[in-house]
Amino acid sequence: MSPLSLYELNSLVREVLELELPDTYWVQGELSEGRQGYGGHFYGELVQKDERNVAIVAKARVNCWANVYVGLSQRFREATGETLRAGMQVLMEVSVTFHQQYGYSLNILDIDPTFTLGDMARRRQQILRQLEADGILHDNQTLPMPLLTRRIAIVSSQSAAGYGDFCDQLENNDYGFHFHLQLFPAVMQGNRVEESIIAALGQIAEQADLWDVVVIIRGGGATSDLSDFDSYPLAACIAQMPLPVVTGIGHERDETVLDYVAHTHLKTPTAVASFLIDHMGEQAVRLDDLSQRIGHSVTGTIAREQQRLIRLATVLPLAFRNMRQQQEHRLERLLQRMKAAHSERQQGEQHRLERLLHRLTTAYNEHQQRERHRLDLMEQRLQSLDPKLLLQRGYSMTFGPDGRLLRDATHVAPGQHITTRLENGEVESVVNLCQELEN
Amino acid sequence: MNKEISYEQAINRLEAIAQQLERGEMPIDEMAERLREAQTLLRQCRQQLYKADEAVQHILQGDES
Repeated sequence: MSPLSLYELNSLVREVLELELPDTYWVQGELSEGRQGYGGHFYGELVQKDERNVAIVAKARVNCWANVYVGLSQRFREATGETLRAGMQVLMEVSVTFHQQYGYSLNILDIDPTFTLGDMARRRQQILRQLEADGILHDNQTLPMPLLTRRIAIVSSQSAAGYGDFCDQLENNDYGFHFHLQLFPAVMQGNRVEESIIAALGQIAEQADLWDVVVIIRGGGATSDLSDFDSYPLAACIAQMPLPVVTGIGHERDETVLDYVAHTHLKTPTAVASFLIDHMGEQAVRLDDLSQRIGHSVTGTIAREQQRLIRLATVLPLAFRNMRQQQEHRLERLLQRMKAAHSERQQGEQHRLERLLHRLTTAYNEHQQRERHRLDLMEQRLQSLDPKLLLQRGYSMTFGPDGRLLRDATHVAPGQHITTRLENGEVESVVNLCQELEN
Repeated sequence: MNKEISYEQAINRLEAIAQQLERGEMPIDEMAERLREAQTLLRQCRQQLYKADEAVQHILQGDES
């Protein structure tokens, strides 16, 4: 048997394969490479890893012709928001081909986006569970959003879609707020997303007191690759930022892990700018409201007080007059009572005086009568004692030399002069003899 | 502004003054003074809201260089 040329051998292999595997097959695996080449064809590599997801246990080249790829990639993008690329788990319908020159490859005929979606969701869930287990999932969400969000640290790329619009929107806001913006540049697409955003966030965290809020923004819509953001280290970093983080990474359909950990997540950079402006707008409204409330209260109070003063000005004199009248009446009544009491008392006193006078008069008269009577009696007695009567009856009175009435013969001595008073006249005598009479 | 109080402190103070006024709990004697305080606070808050903060600008520029 003469040896075969390589081409003949490969042709044999091709024949056998095409004969033995004529159908199409649904195969699942991970795209380890994928790119669109010249002419719009897609070339990639599908691998299967071992249970620990480390070593490759199977590998095959895959390709998709441009005419198929146009429709297929569009449907895939619409369903997943992603383009086919390395690192994705995919479920594809393939036909097995063998080319004499290029060897074994799988020709992609169709792809099931729901499989990839499911895988992405699973990865996201896994990261979220881990964040939850670490107790940091809601850390950033529990930070209070400062009342003023005017110092804004932006994590984005100068060239990222939406960055310029974001800045314009903030700088030309209708209220005239003045925002302080600074870009902390980061790669927003591709496999350096994780490390580059983490580095930017680290830089911001070091000067956290200079900023009110962090925004992570990127425009791009449905063509962006969101799975770059589904990273545990990145999510953990955002969760633990000391400042509230607002995301707007330009995707309409789905959320990334970042959105679950960020303080506030919005769809687009424009939405983030509006959010920040509105947040400040609330403060402007609040200030206007406070100013109005204070103004109204003050004018209200002043008006009330004025009314009160006016009322008092009318009421007070009236009240005063009333009070004066009342007092006057009271005084009048008091005076009346006093007068009444006085005249009553006076009458009483008068009666008493009259009674006293009467008693006195009576007593006096009685006394007078009594005295007169006594005097009469005394007069009678005196009259009866008057020596003149005795003298008239013939008796006489003799006075000694000393002029005193002589009652005892021994009180006079012979030779002494004595005077004898008679009814009519006196007799001067000289004593001859003094003799006591014996009874 | 001599008094360096934060926006949040300022707005809380304003709320307190407004409420006290609304409840009619403010003595008339105090009203003029509170009103002056409220005006100062409002001005400060509005400045923080609308005006470019030179101090912030300075820090940020210094940080960039």
